[in-house]
Amino acid sequence: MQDDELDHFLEAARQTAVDPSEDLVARILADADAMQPVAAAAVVTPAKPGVLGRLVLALGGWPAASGLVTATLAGVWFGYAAPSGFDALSAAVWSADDSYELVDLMPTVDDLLMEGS
Amino acid sequence: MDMAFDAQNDVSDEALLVLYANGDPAASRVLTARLTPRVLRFAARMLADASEAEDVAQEAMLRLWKTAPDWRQGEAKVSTWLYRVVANLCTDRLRKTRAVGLDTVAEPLDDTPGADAQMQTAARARALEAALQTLPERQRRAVVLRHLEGMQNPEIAEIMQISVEAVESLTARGKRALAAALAARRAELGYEDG
Repeated sequence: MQDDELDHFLEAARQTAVDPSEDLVARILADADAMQPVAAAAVVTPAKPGVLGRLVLALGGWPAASGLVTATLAGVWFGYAAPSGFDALSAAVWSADDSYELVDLMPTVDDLLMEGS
Repeated sequence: MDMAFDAQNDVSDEALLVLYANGDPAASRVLTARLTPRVLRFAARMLADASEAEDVAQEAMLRLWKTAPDWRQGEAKVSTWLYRVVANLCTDRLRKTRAVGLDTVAEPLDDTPGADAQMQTAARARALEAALQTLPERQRRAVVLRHLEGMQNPEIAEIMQISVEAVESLTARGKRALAAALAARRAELGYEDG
């Protein structure tokens, strides 16, 4: 028998392949359902808040926390930039002959102060 | 069979298997629709017994479901792994149940096809399936994967865990043996010309 004749038989066999019966598919799907790992339940239940989350909740939620953060940053900014109005306050708090200046406390701020003058 | 579930044609078998392991209920439907026909075909051609082939297909798919949580991504194609499982299951069954009389395969040439093309196709298919059963198991496996499942030699080599050269040798010898077996029955089929 020649190769091309054999190919006719192979082609015929390819054409007449059987499909799985509905019963077989049902059995396989039943196995699949039985063996399937249970979907992680944590996906459904909300995650418990972590340390930061609990702290934020204690402060009144994220809106309150953002207010606090804004106030804190504003305070840091005032301290760092030292607007001129603060000089009077500083003089009142620290007497003129006080030996400590802001530069003494924060030497690195010297350059910034020089720029402002 | 309705293949409506196989709408996710662009999703790889491996991705579906991971989805299955993660609890996605639809993934097993798509995988079943996609893989079961191939698994069943292969088993049926190796065993020439529809009922046993169904059992093997179910067992192979069961092993797939079981291995899903431990599947190592990127190591082997899901289909290659599955074909290997089917091949091994078939080997086990052939050793157990076929020890008595390999030639008890159903005689396929029970009608006269005549001019009806469909009947002739069916008769040819049955003749080929019968001829397949006369081949040594490894030759049969290689021929089925190469010429009926349409796989490339490197993938067959991976499934059979042999070299590509060994696959080429098996398929070549298998085809010659098939041609010889069919030639012996050609007259009975009323099949004279290509």
